[in-house]
Amino acid sequence: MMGAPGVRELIDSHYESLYRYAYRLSGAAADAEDLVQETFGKAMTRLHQLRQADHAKQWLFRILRNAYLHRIRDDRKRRSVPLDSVPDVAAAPPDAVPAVDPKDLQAALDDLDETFRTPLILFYFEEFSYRDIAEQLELPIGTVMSRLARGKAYLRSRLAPHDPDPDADAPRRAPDGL
Amino acid sequence: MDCNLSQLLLTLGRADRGADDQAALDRHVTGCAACAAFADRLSGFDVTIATAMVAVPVPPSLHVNLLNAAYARRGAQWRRTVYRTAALAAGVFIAFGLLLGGIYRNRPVLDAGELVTTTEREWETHEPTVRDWLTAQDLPPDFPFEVDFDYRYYVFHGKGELAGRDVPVVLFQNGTEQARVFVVREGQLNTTELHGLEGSVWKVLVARHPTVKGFTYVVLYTNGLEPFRRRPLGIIT
Repeated sequence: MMGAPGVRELIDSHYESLYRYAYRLSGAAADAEDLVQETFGKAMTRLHQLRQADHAKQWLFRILRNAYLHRIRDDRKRRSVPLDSVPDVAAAPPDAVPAVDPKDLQAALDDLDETFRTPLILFYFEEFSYRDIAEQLELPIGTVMSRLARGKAYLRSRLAPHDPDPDADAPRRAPDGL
Repeated sequence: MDCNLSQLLLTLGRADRGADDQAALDRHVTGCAACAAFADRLSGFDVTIATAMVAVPVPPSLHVNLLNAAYARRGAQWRRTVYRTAALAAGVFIAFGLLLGGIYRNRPVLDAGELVTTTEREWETHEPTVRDWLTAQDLPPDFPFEVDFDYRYYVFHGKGELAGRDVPVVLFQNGTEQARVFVVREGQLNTTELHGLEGSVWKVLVARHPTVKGFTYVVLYTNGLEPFRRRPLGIIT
């Protein structure tokens, strides 16, 4: 078990992944940079709360997500695509998936409700387990699995080459909160 | 396990699945070409999305900007801490100063005239006190002319030992000079050998009361008796 790291160490170790996370959440470089700045600013004032260095990344990601949620709380202009038309999660994936343009991926993420977007981003960063994501979002692991499955199905419908109308199958937030 | 369940489990991912369920799924996928292909396509899709997901160029200036902002915030925090500490110290210092100032301003004023008056009043009580005490001892209240001392030099009265006897004594002191006046009753001590006796430091004067018989005054003194004689009030040598 390691002790709490310093701010310099936190920045050096995590600023890139935090920026990528912030960018995928917000969809804009300026917003992402602001979010990262805000995250480290808050981390400095709460550094005493971080007991172990190996929990630093989850801790910083949680601060960043809370900062992001705080920003979008009153953003009523933001619209997400409906999720009740989500395709069957067990629908066959495309045979061959060509490289996805990161901009197209961002556009698809931007249209997704935050409750689905965040677990998808964390999952594809390949640095967070299902359990990490569940702890990060304070959700049961089953709910995380469900949201991931539906989010992936949405991405397949948006980004797969055989899908002629991506918006047709776009998911939105489920009434049951999943 | 059928293909529908297998593909549903593959889609949901590996988390929160029991070892038995996972073993059953693995056996099915190994023996089912369709599900194996389904799993490969899922995996390929995930790899493609993961690659795109992390393909976010990080601004080259971000690291420096974050460090600068952190240093600025830390500097501000230090300044706030220093300012608060300094303000607290200044507050304590000012409060202490005000307290001291208040004590200093309100300290009693020493009035020289009152001091002189008080001291003179105290001196004025010496003689009546000694006279009353001598009277209470059945002794004459006054001393013979030779021992008519100024009571400003009085320091003590009581019993003193003289040749093994307790004898009433009054002590006077002026600077380093002392005079002890012992009052000896008739027959109490033989004083005939004392008159005019001089030692290296002390001298002896023997006197009798001019009006009341039966009392001898043995005065033990240093140097001379002049320093103890009555003088006009206000002159102290």
